Amino acid sequence: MKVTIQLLGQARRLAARERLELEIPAESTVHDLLPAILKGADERLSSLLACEGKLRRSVMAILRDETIDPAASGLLQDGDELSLLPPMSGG
Amino acid sequence: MNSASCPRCPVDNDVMDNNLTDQERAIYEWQIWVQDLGETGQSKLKSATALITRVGGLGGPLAQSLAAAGLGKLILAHGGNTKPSDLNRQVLQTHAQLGKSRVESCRQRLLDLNPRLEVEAVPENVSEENVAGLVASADIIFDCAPLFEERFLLNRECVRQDKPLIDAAMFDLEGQLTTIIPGQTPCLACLYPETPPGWKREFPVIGAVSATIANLAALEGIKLIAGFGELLTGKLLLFDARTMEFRKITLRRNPACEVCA
Repeated sequence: MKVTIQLLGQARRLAARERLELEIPAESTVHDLLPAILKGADERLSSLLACEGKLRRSVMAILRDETIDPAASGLLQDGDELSLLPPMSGG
Repeated sequence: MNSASCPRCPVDNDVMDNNLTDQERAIYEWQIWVQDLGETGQSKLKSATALITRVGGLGGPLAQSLAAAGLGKLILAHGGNTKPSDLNRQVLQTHAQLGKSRVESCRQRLLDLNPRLEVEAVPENVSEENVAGLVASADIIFDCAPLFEERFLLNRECVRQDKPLIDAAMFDLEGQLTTIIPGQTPCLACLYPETPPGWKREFPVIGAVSATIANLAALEGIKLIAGFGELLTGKLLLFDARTMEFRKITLRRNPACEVCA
């Protein structure tokens, strides 16, 4: 199935593109998508989003306007857009 | 909603409807016409004390809007002196104030706008040493700090003292806002269970973006104090100035949160 990944905040700035489309197996978790999302990525983007192969706990995974557990499978559906929001603290 | 019966209002519900002077009724006349606010809400604003940390690109315009709206007292916590690079967004600073105390400049500008306002200018950023006293002195706290260490301190102390915290933040052309009510909503540590890596105190910002989030935060505080409208409790408002889009995201409490669980 096909999903779109949207990168927000600092991740958008560090990425080559704001959105990328991925073809993924059904039942994929957000953690499962990281290798594809970070393929060829700047080291700073990898460090911002991932730690030891998983989405950082400080990065929000947003699906259909709700934050989701990045370890949960079966949430992503064909045609979904998943947003990844790293923390921001500008004041 | 009848503000007098609002259980979440941080200001004592026994606040009298008639604590406004004739001068204040004249100044706030157009605002009192907002039916959800009215004289009761205006009285609550007058009785409220807000803590704002810091008073830069977010906290400055936020303080200005709260002062204009008739808050009774503002506590401003921000260390250091005004620098040239502050002036694109820190609207309470002036060119003539360069090199002088930031909070003192803010205090004077706010009093020029509203001489009835009580302003306590604290020339320090939030720290382990001062956070308990600062939070204890206020009914509502606005978190506008550029560093997560300060935000986490405020969050922990607001949870400990059961005080509402309005958390505003921005980066580049994006901003976000949420209202934290201890015991009812996710706290900041639920959202960020680890100290985010790589965040720097200096970040890209256009003043109009920080002022947009600041004014939304001010409005959220006014609603919370006066007791009307729908709040961003358990919700994160995202604003993208590139596309002029707003999104409201539902947040989840972390049942294992080290601060609020």
